[in-house]
Amino acid sequence: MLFQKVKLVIVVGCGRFGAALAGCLCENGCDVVVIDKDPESFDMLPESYSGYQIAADGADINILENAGIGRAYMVIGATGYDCTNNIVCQAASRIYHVPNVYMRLTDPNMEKIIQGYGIQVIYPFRLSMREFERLSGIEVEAV
Amino acid sequence: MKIVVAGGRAKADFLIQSLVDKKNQVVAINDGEMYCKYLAGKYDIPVVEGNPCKKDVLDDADITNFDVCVALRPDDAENLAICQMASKIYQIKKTICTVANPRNVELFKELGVTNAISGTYMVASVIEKASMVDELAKTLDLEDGSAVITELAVKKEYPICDEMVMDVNFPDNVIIGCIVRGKEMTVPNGSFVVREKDKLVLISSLQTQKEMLKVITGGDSHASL
Repeated sequence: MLFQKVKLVIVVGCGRFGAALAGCLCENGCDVVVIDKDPESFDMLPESYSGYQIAADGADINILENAGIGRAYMVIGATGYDCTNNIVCQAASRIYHVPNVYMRLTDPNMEKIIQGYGIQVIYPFRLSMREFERLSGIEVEAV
Repeated sequence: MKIVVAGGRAKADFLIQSLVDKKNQVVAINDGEMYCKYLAGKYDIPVVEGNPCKKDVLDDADITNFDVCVALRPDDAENLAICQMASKIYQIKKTICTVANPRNVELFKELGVTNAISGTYMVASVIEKASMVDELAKTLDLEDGSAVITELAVKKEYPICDEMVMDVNFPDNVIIGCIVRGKEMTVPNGSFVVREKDKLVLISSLQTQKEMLKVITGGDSHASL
């Protein structure tokens, strides 16, 4: 039900994470647009990927508008740069009212600036801590 | 005032100089080691070395409850993050940054930055204003363009010429501030008759300025935006 055809998903950042997500969402029937500054990064996309690619700065509002952010169902800030993910996700959530916004954040200290805007945050750091806890059985304090 | 200046090279140097001259309490944050040494040598202010997008660096600068944060990094996204951290984490009320992309002027304001400055944006608006009308002596933006003062000399062929002020069908949010005839300034009432060569000083919103000019000049091609 979540993945009905023609739901537009914009993925900013085509690293391992962004590329894999774009591939999955595409296979699930979404209309996917991947944006990355580096055109070579699109090599990471799986062969089955049939969505769009834009080689440009995803933090540029003009680029996001061209990608269709105004009618997007989901936007994912998946670059390795917190600042870039921040501007993409805040624009998506606060200006264009995209219903589903996900953001990768390496520095948990940035959390405060996005609180209350309906942005779902993915912290690789916290996930690693939790996984360590699960594997080792040693309790680590949640940060 | 207590002001933190984050990032920037020549801009930061110039700004710090002028802020220090005016007896402000300034803290500089810069990620260039040599540049930090230069700033610390030139000014008697605390200089923190590090990337101002990082909270631990901002913590070091001890900027809680400062009055103003100025972000001058070349990357717009970084400046946004700095300004947002300044206001959300350190309770700094005024945040100002430079932006490379003129579209970000509006965007950043909507996202909570007090003032975003773009060189391109400013040049574009000056050119736009300059090319608008030859006979437009001046237009002056107030409150970042939400209010505009326009000064305009009346020509004989304008529909407003020889009309009473109350008969002029101005759009909403337009008022004639005063009329200068020769060397005399008058704040006109409704029965004041506008004559050729009168200088009108009008206050309007940016949106109504175009419509207002049309009413005055009758859609004179030179006077269209």
